Amino acid sequence: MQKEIFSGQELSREAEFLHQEIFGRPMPAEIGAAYVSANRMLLQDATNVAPVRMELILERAMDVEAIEFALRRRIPQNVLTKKLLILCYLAESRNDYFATFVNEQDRPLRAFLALSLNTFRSLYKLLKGHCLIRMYDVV
Amino acid sequence: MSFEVIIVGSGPAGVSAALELRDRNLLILDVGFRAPALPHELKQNLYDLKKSTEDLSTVLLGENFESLNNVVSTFLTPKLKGPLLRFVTRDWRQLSSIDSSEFEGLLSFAAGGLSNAWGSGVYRFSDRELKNFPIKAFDLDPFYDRLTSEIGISGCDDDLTPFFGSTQGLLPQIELDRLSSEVLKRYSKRKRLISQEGIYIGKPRVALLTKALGERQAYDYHGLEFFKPNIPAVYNASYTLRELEKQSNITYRSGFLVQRYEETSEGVRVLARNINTNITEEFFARKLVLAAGTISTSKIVLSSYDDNSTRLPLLDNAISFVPFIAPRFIGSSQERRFFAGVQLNVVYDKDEIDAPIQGSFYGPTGILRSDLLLDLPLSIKGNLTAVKYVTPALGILQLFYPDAPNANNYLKLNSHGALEIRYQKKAFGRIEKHFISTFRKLALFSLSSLCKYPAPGNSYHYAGTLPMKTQPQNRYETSVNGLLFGLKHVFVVDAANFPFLPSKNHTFTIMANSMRIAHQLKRELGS
Repeated sequence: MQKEIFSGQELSREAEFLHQEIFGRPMPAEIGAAYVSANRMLLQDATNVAPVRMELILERAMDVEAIEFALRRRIPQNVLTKKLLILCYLAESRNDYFATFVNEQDRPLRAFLALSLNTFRSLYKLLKGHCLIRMYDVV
Repeated sequence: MSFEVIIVGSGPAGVSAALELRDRNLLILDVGFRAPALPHELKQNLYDLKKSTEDLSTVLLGENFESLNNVVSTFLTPKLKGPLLRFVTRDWRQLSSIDSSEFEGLLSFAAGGLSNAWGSGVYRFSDRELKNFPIKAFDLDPFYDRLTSEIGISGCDDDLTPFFGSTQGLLPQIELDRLSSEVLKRYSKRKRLISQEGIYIGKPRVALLTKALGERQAYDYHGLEFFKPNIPAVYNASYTLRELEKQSNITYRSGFLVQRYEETSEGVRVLARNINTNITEEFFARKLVLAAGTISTSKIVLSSYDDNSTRLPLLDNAISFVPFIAPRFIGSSQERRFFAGVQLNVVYDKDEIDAPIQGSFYGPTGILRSDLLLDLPLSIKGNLTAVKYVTPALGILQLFYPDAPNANNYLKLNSHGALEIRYQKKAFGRIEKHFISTFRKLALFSLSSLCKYPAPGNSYHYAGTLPMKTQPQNRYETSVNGLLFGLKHVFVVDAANFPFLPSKNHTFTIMANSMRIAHQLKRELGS
């Protein structure tokens, strides 16, 4: 693991960037603070987790969704996937993300369209992710 | 201070023995970790709570991010990783570590043991399942009946009655969720076709109150089983313990880890380490009842003989998970009122198999959506959309396989006095494929590549180390009455004495058998 990335400031910046990329909106401060603690508690001493050059991803504001998807298929136990999963858990415990995780009305058509769109989108992200990993040497 | 009987452990086996011996001078020795206080009242259903509470992280994730256990550590079932349920497995590695590369089991030192986080399925063993036992179903029936009225079991008479036995004393069945109701409806219409494949489906028997029983209220369908400990309607052994503790003739001492015993002509001396002071204390009784759970009980017995060479046979229900999707429920709204545990039971039984294979069918709506994120095939944003719309259409079939003694699967003490377990992983897939093809008739779809086969030990159903025999041959076998061969005062009442492990959840039978043995012991003690 790259220990230098665990400074509070770096982790907060990382959380903000990842959150914007995944949820498309500014991150509440509580999630940022919890993200820093969770990273320190869970990832700092984790073994068997492949490192990823987070500083490079942040510096170049790379497409995290694409890189993560491609990485997950090549190296399932990688730190970027873990970090995004942590962020999702933190978001899920707050009520302002309720609608992101839970469907409250019967919407079969919307669901069908959203899932179809996301299937094609995921394929595109997968290809893009493989290209980015090859071009920038993120692992 | 001397007692008539010392019972080690307060899980289902321990409290059932204590229940039968409740008029005796009893000491229950236990480590006895308890559930923490609730940080919120948790009086709404899971989804209303999530919607109305700004920050539910202490309940859902934990102050130390306990719910995120599976992000980096060895897999823990959602129920055991819930922050308020972590007491169930608290400190087990420090108290009794297991050296094994292939066995992923765990132990509980909580008051009530693993029943604090069980699936609450309660099933009677049939004579077919008891064929390797020195007892018959009718030996257990009176105790099954008593326990049914004592703990409260809901269920009904349906296609699974031939497998699950008497419906006497059952409370009304649980309300099913939308998906399971639909599956059952389709099954009723295609019953002949499905049963030709050896598959039978019905409502579960669960230790869950659909009507109030004593001070325990009926279940509220809040779906909080993965996050809230001690839901009164869902039975666990600590409720019985709490009742027993009220009696003046019963002493409950927590904070003690029993290490060994020594038999004397008058009874048994028990040595237990006080985990707070680290001082070993002595207790004495006429009889000792070991109910610490299969693995811990075995450790106590092996330690008492200072034996680090004997390999005791270990049984474990191998498990598999088969996810199914019901396309017609994709995009359905999230139900608010539901039970997060088993919705349907499934039995596979054909002439060519020795014992039936049982499964539990449930939806994943009671767990965190983030638990499912990496199980879906899209990018992370795609998966966020998928968990939102697909979760109400998902069902998981968890299959349990029976187990019989095998020389490759054993438990022993190593030279440092720690447990060592070896267990060969079994080959699976055939039955899962059969379910996948048959369930298409119920409009449930899956792929065999999506099935998961956890490592041995993940069922948390262990047994068989000190088997009951009609004529025990060595000191690690027990008599029909649970007495360890060669001893006069030491009885085994937990699943360590099962010579075979059927696919059914064995807790109810552990309880009934423990009561049966305690009943004999009571007679032996006299008035």
